[in-house]
Amino acid sequence: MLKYYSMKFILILLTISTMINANDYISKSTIDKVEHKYNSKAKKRFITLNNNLRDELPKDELIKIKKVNDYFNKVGYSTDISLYNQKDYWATPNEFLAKNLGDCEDYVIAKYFALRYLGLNTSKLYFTYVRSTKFNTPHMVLTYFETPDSIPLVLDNNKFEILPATKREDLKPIYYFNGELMKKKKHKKWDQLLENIKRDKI
Amino acid sequence: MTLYRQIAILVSFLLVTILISILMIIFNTIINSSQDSLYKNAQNSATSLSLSLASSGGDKAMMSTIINANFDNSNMEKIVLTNMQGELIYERLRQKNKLNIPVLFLNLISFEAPEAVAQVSSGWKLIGILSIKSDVNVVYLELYKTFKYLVSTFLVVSFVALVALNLLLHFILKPLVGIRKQAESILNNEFIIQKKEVFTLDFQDIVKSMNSMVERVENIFKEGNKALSFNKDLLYKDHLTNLYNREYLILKLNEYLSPDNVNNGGVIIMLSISDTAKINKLFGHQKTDDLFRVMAKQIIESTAHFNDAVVSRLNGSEFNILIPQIALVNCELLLKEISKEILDLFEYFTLNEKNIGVHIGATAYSLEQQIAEVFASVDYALAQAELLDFGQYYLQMEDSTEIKGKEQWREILKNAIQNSQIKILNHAVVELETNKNIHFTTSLSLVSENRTYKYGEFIALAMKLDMLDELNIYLLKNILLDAQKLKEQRVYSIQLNASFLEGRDSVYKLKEILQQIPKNISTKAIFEIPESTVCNNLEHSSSIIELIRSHNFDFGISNFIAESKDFAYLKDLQPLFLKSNKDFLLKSSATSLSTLNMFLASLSIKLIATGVNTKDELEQLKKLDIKIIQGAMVDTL
Repeated sequence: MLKYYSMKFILILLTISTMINANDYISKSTIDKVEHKYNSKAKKRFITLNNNLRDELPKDELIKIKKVNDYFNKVGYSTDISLYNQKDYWATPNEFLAKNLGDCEDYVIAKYFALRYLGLNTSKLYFTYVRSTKFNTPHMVLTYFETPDSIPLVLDNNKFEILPATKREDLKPIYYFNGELMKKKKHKKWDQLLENIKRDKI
Repeated sequence: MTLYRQIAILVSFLLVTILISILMIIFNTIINSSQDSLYKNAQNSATSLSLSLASSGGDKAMMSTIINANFDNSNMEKIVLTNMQGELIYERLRQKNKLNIPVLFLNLISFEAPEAVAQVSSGWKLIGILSIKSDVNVVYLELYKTFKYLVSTFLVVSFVALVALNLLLHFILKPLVGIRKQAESILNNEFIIQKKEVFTLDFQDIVKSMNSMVERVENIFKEGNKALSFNKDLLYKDHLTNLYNREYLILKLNEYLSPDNVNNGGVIIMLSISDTAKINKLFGHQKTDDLFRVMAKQIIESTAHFNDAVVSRLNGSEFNILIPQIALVNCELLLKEISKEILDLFEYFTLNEKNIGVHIGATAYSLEQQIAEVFASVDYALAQAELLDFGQYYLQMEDSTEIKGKEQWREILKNAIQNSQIKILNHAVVELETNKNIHFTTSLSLVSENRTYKYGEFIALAMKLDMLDELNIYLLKNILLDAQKLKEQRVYSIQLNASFLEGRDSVYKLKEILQQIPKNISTKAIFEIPESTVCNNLEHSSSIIELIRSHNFDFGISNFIAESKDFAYLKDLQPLFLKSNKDFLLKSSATSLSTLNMFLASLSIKLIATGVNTKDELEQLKKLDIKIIQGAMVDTL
């Protein structure tokens, strides 16, 4: 009986490993590192993300947006202070998913890079500093502009449904930011984030 | 190039390279930091301005006013606002003023003006993109100021560092300077010991070795000098009276009878104490010895005021006084004085026996005579004196016919100089081992009315006729200028007459002669100065040698018979060679010659045997380790 389960477990592992290929959003070595540092559950999240994103690649932009928004909104909320002992920290998508916790900026970052992987033009995506009128707190969402003049769609971790900005009366936009628009790295948080991603920080 | 210079150049190069590198790193860091801070400022300005523009609700006039207000109070080069399609909404540009900074500096730093971008929105609507470029002129000015400060600091630091390095190197390499001085001193036959303790460990052993080597060389020199003086005393001194002996008298007479010697005329006196056997019997040996010692002392005192006088004891009872440059008639007073003193001495010693007394005979000697003739003549005078009573003396008068020919000789010499009838004869001086000509020694012969006169035959008369200077000028000019014309690579050795050199104004005269020789002459010449001249007046000789050397010529010593009491003068003057008559060398003992050779080797002075005319002499000299010869035998080698 024990032998049977062992064989089954090995077969599952082999199947999983064959599913990971070179064009995946997250590389095998990163997933191995995640498993080593965290646990097999964390690893599974990464593999699932890879599979989901792979499936979404040929699909329409709006479907991609929805899938990515839904996937990352499943991650739990936590403040930077309790997670990183810092008041404001921009976590890499891998840190965010590995810990399975994060604050509003971390959701925005994870969604942004996943959508970029899926082929969305980043000039349509903005890190948007907003004020939550409902909670009267500063907040950040990811906004998607289909055209430069269109009303953006809001990808929010507080409200899972993607709505046009005009229907989000609970949010007041303050400032749009897109790191890719800058000719040179010179945004402190953004630069640090890119550096951490480059270092494959998990 | 000295080790100090090499190290100094290397370390200075490294130091300057390091300082330049540091300067460049600092400056580049400042540039990067300035660029960074400029961009941050631009980005902050862009962000805050974009937030301000958000309140305009997309109103162009409002946005332009906000941009103008920001631009006028900023260091921005330009502010540009475009809509989302990239079309210009509004822009402000600052006119660039010409900077008072060298173009080279501007090209050198290639500072890039940073441009920051921010999104402008109004509510959820994107209005456009704001682009801000900082004005780099301000930064250029600041950077140039910093650069000047850094360069001036660098120069001061470099200067201080190089001075410190120079002092440090001098301190560290000081022992090497000492070692170099020691080495140079050894070459100049000076012996310097480094007494100061050396700081650098590596140099301590070198200094010790050098000191030990210098001490050894100095000891060789001192021992050689001592041995030479001792050998000289053994060879040439009468041990009882400390007067010279017969060997020495012969050598000196030989020297004096040379044509160019100022002492080639004078008086020779022989004193004979009669019946010394009886004196010994009466007094015993010890008291007799005392008598002879006192007698020798008295003779020395009586002749002390005669230049170059030689007093010798030829055997147990005979004494000899050789006084150059005096006429026979002028020495009668001396003879009377010596005679009286000896008789008084006998009286003092209570020697009143009738057969005991002193006989004194004197005669003149001159250049024309051989040594044997001089001795025969003085022996004859003594024999005649022995016929006289004690206390009397006999003078063998000279028969001079010289005056008769003087004017004729003047004419002959004048014509010979004017008509170039004086021929220069070169005699090779050869190193026996290599058969190589070391140099050519020169002499003159005179051809007049189908007759050839040898050097010895006319030089004494030239001296007396005061024509020596003309002859010397003739000799020098002809040897040196002819050799120059013929482009000969020979080295000539030129004998300078002792009488000429010993004259009071010889330095001045020689200077005048040498001034007539062109300075750029390439012919090498060595001037020979007799040993007696050097020993008689070392200071005067040193001036002559200095003069010779100042004209790029060198000097050697001729007629060397180890006359001096101290041979340190050889170390001081450093002649190229010593020329010694074969008679002196053959009569010297093998030990004393070996000492002389060792001594001269320690000073790098060559010993040359002159007058080597027979095969027998040559063979004997070879056995005595004589390596260089001059004379008729040279032609047979």
